[in-house]
Amino acid sequence: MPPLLMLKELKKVFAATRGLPPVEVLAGVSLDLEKGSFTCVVGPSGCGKTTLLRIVAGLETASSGRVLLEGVEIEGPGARVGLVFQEFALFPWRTILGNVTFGLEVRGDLTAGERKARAEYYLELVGLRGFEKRYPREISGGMKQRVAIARTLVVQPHLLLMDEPFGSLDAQTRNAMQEFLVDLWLRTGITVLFVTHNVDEAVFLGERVVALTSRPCSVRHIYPVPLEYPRDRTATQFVEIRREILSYLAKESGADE
Amino acid sequence: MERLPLSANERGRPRGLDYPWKRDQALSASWSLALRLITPLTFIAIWQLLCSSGALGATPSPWQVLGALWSLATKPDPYLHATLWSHLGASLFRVIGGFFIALLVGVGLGLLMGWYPLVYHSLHPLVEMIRPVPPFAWVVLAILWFKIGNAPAIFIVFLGAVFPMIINTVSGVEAVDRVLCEAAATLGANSRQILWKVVIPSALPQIITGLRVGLGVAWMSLIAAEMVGVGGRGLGLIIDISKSTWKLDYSVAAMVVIGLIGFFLDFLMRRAERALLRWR
Repeated sequence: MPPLLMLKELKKVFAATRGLPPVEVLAGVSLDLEKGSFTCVVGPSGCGKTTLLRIVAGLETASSGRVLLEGVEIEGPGARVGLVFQEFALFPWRTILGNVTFGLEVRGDLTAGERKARAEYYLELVGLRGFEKRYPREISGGMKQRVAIARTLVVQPHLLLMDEPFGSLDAQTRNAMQEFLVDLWLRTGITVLFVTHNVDEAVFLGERVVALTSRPCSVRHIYPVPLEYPRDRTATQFVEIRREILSYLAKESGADE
Repeated sequence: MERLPLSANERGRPRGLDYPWKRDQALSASWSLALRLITPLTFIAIWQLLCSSGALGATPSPWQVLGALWSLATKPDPYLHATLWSHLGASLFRVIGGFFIALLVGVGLGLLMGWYPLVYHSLHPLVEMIRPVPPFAWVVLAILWFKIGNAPAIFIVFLGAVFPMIINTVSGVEAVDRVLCEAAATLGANSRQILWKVVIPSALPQIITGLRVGLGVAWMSLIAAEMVGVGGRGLGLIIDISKSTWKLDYSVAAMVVIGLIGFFLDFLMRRAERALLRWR
């Protein structure tokens, strides 16, 4: 079976603005994602991880190269590829339930009752039943991100992109959210592409960790993480893989200066 | 339960005055009502005292104004041809009619200008050149085009209300968080759905501000236009006619009604605002 997602020699150059020279962000990124896999992407800060995700989500167009989802070129944003933002991006004027039903409303094929039932199923899945009538400002950061995940999953995307989704959360909430995400992935079997600058997070979550070079970025190395879920951060092998990736990143960031 | 000792900071601080950003620590209902009544009542008392002492010359006192209100409301004045209610009704009809026309045009144009750069660049210079012209300056043209009656007055109301609505709607749309639009797009929304389901609700607070400001400007513009007889009736006309008949108490009575109605209209707008923006 062909991979679910294929990135072929993706290049991206941001055009010159305000007298500043053009910036080459992606220098030919190639990567395949198998259906149902969990892939984490790490790289030095500012290396273009977010740009890569935005291209896959269809929010940005590549300067050259191809993005194929199930063999079909991505032509713009849509419900087939879900994106979870670091800043949650919930609609503050909608209740939690209203946020989750949004994607079903714009699709327009279900009755209000069916939309509500399906949204409730996903709120149950992320452990937020009972909060349907709250507004986003009334719940915590971790809960907001779980709402954002439910909102994305409810339209059943074929691929889930996550852009440092736990970056703004405190350490405890962050760990809890990582465990929650592993559990969710094991239960739903969705394909995940997860961008982070946190190596510990990447090794805890991913079946493999893709290390990018500094800008303009390409894939430097793919580290398999052959550990059982749920993972133990203190296990020898976990620590070893982590150390290996960290030392690579330290070298790569150093080369930048 | 054991009570902890109060810190020096907590002791003796009047509640509700110390942390203005804490809405739930706001004044109690009776306190705020009392404060809201004290200032106007003091104002009226001082006014009455000054009149009784003769310091304000022929200025009608609050008591005389009350009397004028009573006679205006109960019997039609020979010079005004109608009672206060008829004039009040005319003014209200015009301000409400003109307001809703301005709402459709102003919010509509504001959305298009804020969302489509093409529309913005085509209309912005024209809007910004008509905007500084006081609505009152249009009176002669309004009468020329619409004759005397409700129509020119509604036109003046429209001119007063429409610009604050356009300006505020445009800046509300410009301030929409692009991430929310992107989130909607990745959930499958098309650009029309993004406009209706993301842009409009997120610009709504500022749109409502535009409606409030617009209604206030419209009310003032209408009274000014009525004072030069644009409608043949109206609260503004009472002031104008009383000027010629030297009925100062009628003038001030009309001013009081104008102020009260303005306050009431804004009160309705704030009610609507609170109902529509419960999520904040």
